[in-house]
Amino acid sequence: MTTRLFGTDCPRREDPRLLTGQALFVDDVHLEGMLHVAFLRSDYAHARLVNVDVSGALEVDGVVAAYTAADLGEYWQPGPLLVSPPPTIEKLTFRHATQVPLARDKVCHVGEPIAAVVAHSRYQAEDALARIRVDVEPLGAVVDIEAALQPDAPLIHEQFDSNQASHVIQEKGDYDAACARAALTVQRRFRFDRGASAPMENRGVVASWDAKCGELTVWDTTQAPIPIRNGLAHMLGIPESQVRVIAPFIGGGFGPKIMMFYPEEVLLPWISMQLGWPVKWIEDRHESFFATTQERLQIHDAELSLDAEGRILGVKDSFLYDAGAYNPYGLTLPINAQCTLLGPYDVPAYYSEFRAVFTTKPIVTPVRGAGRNPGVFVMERLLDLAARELGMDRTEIRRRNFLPPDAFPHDHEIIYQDFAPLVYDSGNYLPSLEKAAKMIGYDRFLAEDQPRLRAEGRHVGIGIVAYVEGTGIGPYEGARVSIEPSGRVNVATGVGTQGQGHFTSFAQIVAEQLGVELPDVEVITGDTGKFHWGTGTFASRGAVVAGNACHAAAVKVREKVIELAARSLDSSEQEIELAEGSARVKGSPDRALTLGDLATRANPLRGAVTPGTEPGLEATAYFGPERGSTANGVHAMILEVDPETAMVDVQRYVVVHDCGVVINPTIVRGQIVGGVAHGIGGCFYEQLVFDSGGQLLNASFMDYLLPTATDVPNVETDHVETPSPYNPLGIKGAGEAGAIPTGALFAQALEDALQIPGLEVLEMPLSPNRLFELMRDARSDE
Amino acid sequence: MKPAPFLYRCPGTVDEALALLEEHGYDAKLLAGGQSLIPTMNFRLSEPAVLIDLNRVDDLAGIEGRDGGVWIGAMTRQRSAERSETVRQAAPLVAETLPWIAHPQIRNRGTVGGSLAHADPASELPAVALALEARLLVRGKSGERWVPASEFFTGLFATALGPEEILLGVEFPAVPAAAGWAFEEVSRRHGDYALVGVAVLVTSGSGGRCDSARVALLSVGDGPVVSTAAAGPLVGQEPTAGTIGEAAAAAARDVDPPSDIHASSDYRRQLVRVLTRRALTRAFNRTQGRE
Amino acid sequence: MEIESEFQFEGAREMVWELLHDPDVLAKALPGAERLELAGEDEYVGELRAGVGPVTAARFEVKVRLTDQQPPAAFTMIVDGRGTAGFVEGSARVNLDEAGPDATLMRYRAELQIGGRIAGVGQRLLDSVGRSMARQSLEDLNSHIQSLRGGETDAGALPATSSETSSSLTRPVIISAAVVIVIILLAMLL
Repeated sequence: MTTRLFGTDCPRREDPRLLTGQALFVDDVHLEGMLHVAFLRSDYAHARLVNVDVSGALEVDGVVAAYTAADLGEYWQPGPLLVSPPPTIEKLTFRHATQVPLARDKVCHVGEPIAAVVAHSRYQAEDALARIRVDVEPLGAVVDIEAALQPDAPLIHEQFDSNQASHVIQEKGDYDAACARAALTVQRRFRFDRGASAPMENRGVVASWDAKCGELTVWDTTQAPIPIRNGLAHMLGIPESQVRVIAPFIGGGFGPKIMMFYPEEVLLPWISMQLGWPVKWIEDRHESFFATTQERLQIHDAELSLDAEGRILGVKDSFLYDAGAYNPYGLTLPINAQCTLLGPYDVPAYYSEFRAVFTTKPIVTPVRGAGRNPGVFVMERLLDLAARELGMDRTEIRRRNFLPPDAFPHDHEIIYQDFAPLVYDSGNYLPSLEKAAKMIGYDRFLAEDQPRLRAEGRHVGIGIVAYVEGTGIGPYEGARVSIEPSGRVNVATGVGTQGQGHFTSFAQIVAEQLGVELPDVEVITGDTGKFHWGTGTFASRGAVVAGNACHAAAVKVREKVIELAARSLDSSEQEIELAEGSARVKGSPDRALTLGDLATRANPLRGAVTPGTEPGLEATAYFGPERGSTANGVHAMILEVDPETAMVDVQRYVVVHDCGVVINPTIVRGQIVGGVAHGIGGCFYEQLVFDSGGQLLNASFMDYLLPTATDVPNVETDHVETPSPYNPLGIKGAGEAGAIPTGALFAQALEDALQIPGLEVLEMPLSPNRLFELMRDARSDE
Repeated sequence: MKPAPFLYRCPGTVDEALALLEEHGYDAKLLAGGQSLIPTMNFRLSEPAVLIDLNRVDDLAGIEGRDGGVWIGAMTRQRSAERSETVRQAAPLVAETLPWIAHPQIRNRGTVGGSLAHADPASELPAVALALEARLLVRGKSGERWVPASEFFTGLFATALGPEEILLGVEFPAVPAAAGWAFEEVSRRHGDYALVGVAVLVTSGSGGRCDSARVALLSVGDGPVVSTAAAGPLVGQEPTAGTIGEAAAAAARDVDPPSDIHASSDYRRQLVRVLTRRALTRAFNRTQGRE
Repeated sequence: MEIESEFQFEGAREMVWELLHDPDVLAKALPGAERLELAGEDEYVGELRAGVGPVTAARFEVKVRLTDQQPPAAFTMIVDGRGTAGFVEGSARVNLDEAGPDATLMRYRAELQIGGRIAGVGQRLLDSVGRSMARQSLEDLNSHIQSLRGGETDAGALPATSSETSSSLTRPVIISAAVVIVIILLAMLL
């Protein structure tokens, strides 16, 4: 009898520690003599720095040091380009400018750090900031992405001739020909605006240089500790083996905590080496609105051509993408938008073109969804508009265009963010749609509920949308699994963890292979001292890539266990089974050895061993998928609008999700519900509002509105399982799915609720104020 | 987000607090519940040299029924007032309004007097004090004085409190027998600053005609605003959908609300019209025992 | 941010100009101005401390430059105010028109950029504060004018606007008006 753990609903093992305050976060790190760092940040969006004088700061009580760019010498270098543009795209221009540790000649966005103060307390460090004198010569802000490309726009990076960072064209088929024979072409302009990632824990770094050992230890809220370790070692000129980066428990990542080489991340280790003391910087919430990267302003001019039966003939899209002040993350986001737009549909002809634009706003890098949300918004909205024109049901137009189950693997003939062709590995979309429609009662709502509610004067609407999400991209992750003489199993992997439940799901994968219980498995993530090969947690890839690496390492250890057990028990390998922490001969329960015994035998202290033997029951393995796996899903929503106040109440929310084989349904559900909360935030609450001078007008939780528990409905979830053929476990990623289609869904449901002729929701997010304007404008047009 | 250095003083009596105010003058700030002041200090938008903490001052908190009305001491927590049976009986509009202030966690610390003295244009209690014609008791060096709510709120974050005076509490008078009341508010999320709010007190006389109607609005100007125009179409008339609608329209015409990123002036005006209509409708229903 | 408004002083334009140049009047009407001095040709520097509600820390160093002057009717001012809580920069066009024998209409139109912490956390109140402070400052000034008018009747005539006095008056008057506008603009910060 073997224990079935994989695929079951084990409770999250890390929660007791998290919920009782026993988990270590970066701010929990206290070291003797530790000093505190605060940053002076630019009030200006775009200005030339004439002079920075920190002498006043040095007079403040408790201040130990103050640094400007001039103090950094050779260490002052722009950060690395993290993702180069896909070499496989032919029609592509790209140029990059990356963030610097401290602004030297000019500042390019509000909040860009100009000086750092080190003091005995954060209070003193902040007192000193007020004493730094900065002389600037303001330059014009660049906020509007269309204006940014005009010849008279202020130039942000003067080494270039314009603010255009990139221009990319990807094509498939002949869109013009498709359009020429179309029965219907719908064309609109769509706008999807910026939001913050707003993790519960902001960023933070503690750096401690031990001069005697020549060893640097950094606690960092990073999603990718290994690349950070390697990068820091390179920048600081010390061996990689002498740098240890620990990403302990992290209160949410959502993208911006990837290996950014943020100024603070680069400076704290350097400061610790300069002063010989440990130093700490914890980002406060106000700083976070400028100092942490954001997403996702895109403006799309898109059109969809269809035949008279509502079948897609082609899509044409041209969009502008706001890269912010620097573009270290290359083209990941606009390529994601470009690719994800295609959705679960058969699109024979596609012309997609984008321009990435530098602006004097905080840097843009992935935030949950990572460019996919606007792509889905554009496609789903176009389908809704087309269905209305054709007098067709919204689910019917989607049904007619879904790729059929036998169309996989399906090559979209364009290049994805991982440089590989956009090939969908597997999918079966219709069951997701049918299931979601049934769960929310789509037909009954339209036939019975909505007319009845309407007669009562209530404006209640339904929405239903579909999407495909590329997940689980390479290059690779690794894991090491070992069994101790105590029988405990250790798993170490390089990815960081920010709440995803890795301590549970990775343990499930390994326990399943080794026939042990979950409490016997100890998972370590995000500590380069424990495992130092890999990239990080992003792009919904943790479970897919690191999960499969854990699986591969566990399989190797399983083989070692079976081989040793067979030898020790005078049996054949085929006869050995692993269960209840032992290896035993099938059908003879007495002939068994515990894994601990076997581990001891595998590491003898005396006697000879067979030549070529590796000690211990340990194995390291890596997994690199040939290409990503594509998850998909359908979201449906019922909402009510008060047309007098423009306030919206989301009453029901249904998600049917296909992320392949599920490791732990509760964890997947948690990911989806969290994603939906992010998505709802991006529909109606969260919007970073910049004025024309590049000032962020809602840089606190007073005005930047996160949805709270009372604003997020109960999310009803169900699954369809279409395994991925591209990895042994058949897994697809789930981390971002909840957030991706929510804007499209909200817009559709809102239009359905209001049914005001001419009212089209073509922008996200909305606010009640904006909805009021849209209603007023539509009514005045009547 | 760490405050600048400040001196902390913790008087035990009102007289001690007054003496400290006199000593430090403009450099001092009184700390009540701290739900507005402390964030402002953490943002370093406020850097008082001295913080005079009223939380240990005896007898500034307390709720007491008085002649059918109710006295609420300045340092009474909003949450205590919200849960007080005395408040619910004597000033039901106050009881109905209190849950609209922020969140329970904030009301546990936030005080009734702090909210009134802070006079944020978006806060609920000043508007309710105006609607109910409350009066406020103030003490300074030269003694105590009563200030009617209509004279207490003088502008944006401005009150009749002198720089060396302390608010002792507020007295809400008894609600007339034939009265109806209601509070309505729209905020982005529950607990956010109101986009618009309205507190209404109406009385009905013989034949169900309206005797009086007080409509007090918040978040539409420098402070709480009584819309006298709203009463016009109602007084002496039967409260019908028509007269109530006219009153609501008059209230909307009567205000010139500010704009911010959450609500334009136009949107706020629309909300004034809608919320006034809804509040008046509920209030008149109450006069007729229909709730 | 753009602000456009007007205010009517109850006094003849000459009288408004004459009385406005009195620094005592200004000090009383504009409690935020701690210092304002001439720093060069048509350029003034000063320090202002303004507060509203819980905000008490906003101290600004201000530079004002006057351009495009058409005495005594109009001028443009360029304002640059910086403090630890943020900055304000922009320009304002001010017109003073006769609006009757005993009335002067001041119209102003300002375009300004507010930045820093105050822009990031103060947006909710900018509009209200702007409206309120402008009105208050101007009303205070106007009441000073009224009180001074009352005490002046036996001085006989209103001040003459001879060419001799007008040039000497122009600058203080402009400073006065500048201070009014600066206060309004800075008030927008809070």
